[in-house]
Amino acid sequence: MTAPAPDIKPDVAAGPVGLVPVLRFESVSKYYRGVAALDDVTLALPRGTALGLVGESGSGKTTCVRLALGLERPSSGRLTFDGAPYPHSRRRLRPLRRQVGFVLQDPYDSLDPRMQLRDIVSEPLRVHRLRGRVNGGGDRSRRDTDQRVTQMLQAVGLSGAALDSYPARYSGGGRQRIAIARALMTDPAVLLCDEPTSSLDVSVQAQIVNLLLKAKRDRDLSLLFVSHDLDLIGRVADTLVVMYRGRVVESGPAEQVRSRPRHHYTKALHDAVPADHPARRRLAAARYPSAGPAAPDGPASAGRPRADSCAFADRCPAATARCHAERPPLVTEADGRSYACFFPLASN
Amino acid sequence: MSAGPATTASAPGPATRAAALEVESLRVCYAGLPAVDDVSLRVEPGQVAALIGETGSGKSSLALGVARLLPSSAVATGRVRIAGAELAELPARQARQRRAGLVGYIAQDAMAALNPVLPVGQQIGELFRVHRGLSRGDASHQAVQELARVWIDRPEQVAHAYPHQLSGGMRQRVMIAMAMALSPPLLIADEPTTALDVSTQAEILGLVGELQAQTGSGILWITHDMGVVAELADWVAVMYAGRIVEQGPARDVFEHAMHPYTGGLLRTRQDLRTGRPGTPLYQIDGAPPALSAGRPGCAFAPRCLRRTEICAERRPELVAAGPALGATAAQGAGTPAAGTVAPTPSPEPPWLAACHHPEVSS
Repeated sequence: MTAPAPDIKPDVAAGPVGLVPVLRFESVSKYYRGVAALDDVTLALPRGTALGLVGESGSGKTTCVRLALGLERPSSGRLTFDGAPYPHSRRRLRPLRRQVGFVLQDPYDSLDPRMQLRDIVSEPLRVHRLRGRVNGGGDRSRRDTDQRVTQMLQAVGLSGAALDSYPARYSGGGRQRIAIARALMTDPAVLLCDEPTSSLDVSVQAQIVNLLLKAKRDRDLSLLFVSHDLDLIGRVADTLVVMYRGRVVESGPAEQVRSRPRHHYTKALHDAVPADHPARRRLAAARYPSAGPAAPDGPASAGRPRADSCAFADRCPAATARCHAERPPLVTEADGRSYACFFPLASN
Repeated sequence: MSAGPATTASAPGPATRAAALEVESLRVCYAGLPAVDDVSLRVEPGQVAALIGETGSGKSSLALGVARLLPSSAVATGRVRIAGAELAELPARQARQRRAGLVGYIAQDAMAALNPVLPVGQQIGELFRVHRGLSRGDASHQAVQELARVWIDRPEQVAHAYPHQLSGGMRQRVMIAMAMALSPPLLIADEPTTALDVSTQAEILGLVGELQAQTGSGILWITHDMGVVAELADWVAVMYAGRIVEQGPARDVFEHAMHPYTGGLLRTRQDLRTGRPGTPLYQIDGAPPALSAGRPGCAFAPRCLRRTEICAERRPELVAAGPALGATAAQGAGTPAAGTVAPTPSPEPPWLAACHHPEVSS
């Protein structure tokens, strides 16, 4: 932390390391059987901030999470953590994995129903050998672990939880708290949240989001928050990245992207959000632009744009011949907003 | 069950003024525990009534009870009339036959609801062959028309597709086509857009709005999403722990929710939309209760900011509570059960809330 900082930029509060994003995707592509799940994606997650990835199914959000977890390697391009490239070998990935926690969508799927709370939450300690020697610990080590688990459960709002209880005792919200406790156990720098509230009840969603925001604040965590819900993600993230069919189509400060989209897809996404009051209906009144001819041969083959066109060209109300013949590059403007569109929407 | 099936079944058709759906004091129990507890609800022809609730609120059991599709382990009491007909009074086989013409059902998971080994056109055509006596050729022709009606491009081609060959949004449209094929007076939609992308959801909501304007069916739309309610519903009923805690005209309820739970749901939604990024969200503390029997007091009380002693002791009745309903409120307070909808002669049924301390309009 006290490394010499030759360039003296007073506006960087996070210190010299703050300049280097904690997590970065550099021109990352990922192909599955020749189909691009991710197509030349560049992202940066500055330390202590929340980056929101928003898009519909097939946009590549979850592929980003899998790459960031090190579960998969990019087909081309690279990921870096604190400026250093992700290592190739599994063994050398391990210390990095400790730094990258995750909370997945379905808390009914991600917790082993036969494990006690104590073992679920302390599992990362065992995996990363943070508990002393596996066999050398004895009772003392077990007591220490229990204490750490109890403290962590308290921190996520489960103070009364019995360490020998099983996940089945908990509702969806309770399980997601357990998953968060487990993720925070190794004191990670980054937390990957893949639709963490989309399987929860409305009245519980906000509790979980608040817990994540609190963890971000208290632990100087950086969040990569993935969701299909523009309202939710715009509320949580500092920076928004809008993805469509494996490409980044727009990014920028969350509030601006949400309120004044530059890309037509972002606007379409925005317009598809239901009204907040029956007096302001919009969807039932007008036919929403169709997702294009609904081909009977299934979504997998229909989903990918041609390499030499805009990803949104066949649904875009403003598309011209150029949009079908040329891929718009992601341009960044002086205000920090980026978009991949030849005919962007006005900025005001 | 078997009492006078013939007479009750020959009910007036959808052309008469009967409500699309009338539910009176419906109770659905599993192993003695009430999942739906004394629910009364009415859906007029051409009306969309939204039933909003969370996991375990009983909304799906209510829907299944209405369509007489409950599993055999469930015990249902109370009355359900669909366009005047009482399905529950019929023997099982007759009920099955009548059901297709009375109520269309759109499930959340179209993949599970459609037959995976039959082309979708054939599945729709079968309805016309069985219930309308159409020939194979006429039925398949009709099926293509039904697919076109739900905005499917190239319906002739899609009719030959199997469910797994279609996208989620397309499958959901096929389900809607099937549900509406026989023009039933009542349509039940059980979270049909929950698993869909927002833009697909928008298409489905637009589609249903248009179809309903054409057919005049009554729709019972089950959801947990207040946005969907705002977009579609004329009437909204909020369920919590098996009971309706508030119901009224959608505009009124959105403008001024009476029950603190309804208010909390609306505020949660509003905060997502307008709150400053990165700041804590408005939250309702606690979690919905598990099924239990004989709980005194208000089920929402443990999570409620307005609770007082009485909330834990006495269950609040569902009574008229709208701001302009002073007289009806006094009258309604005396009635014991939730069935206060029926005796009201006024054309507009009253706005009801079950709360000892309803939010009073300013």
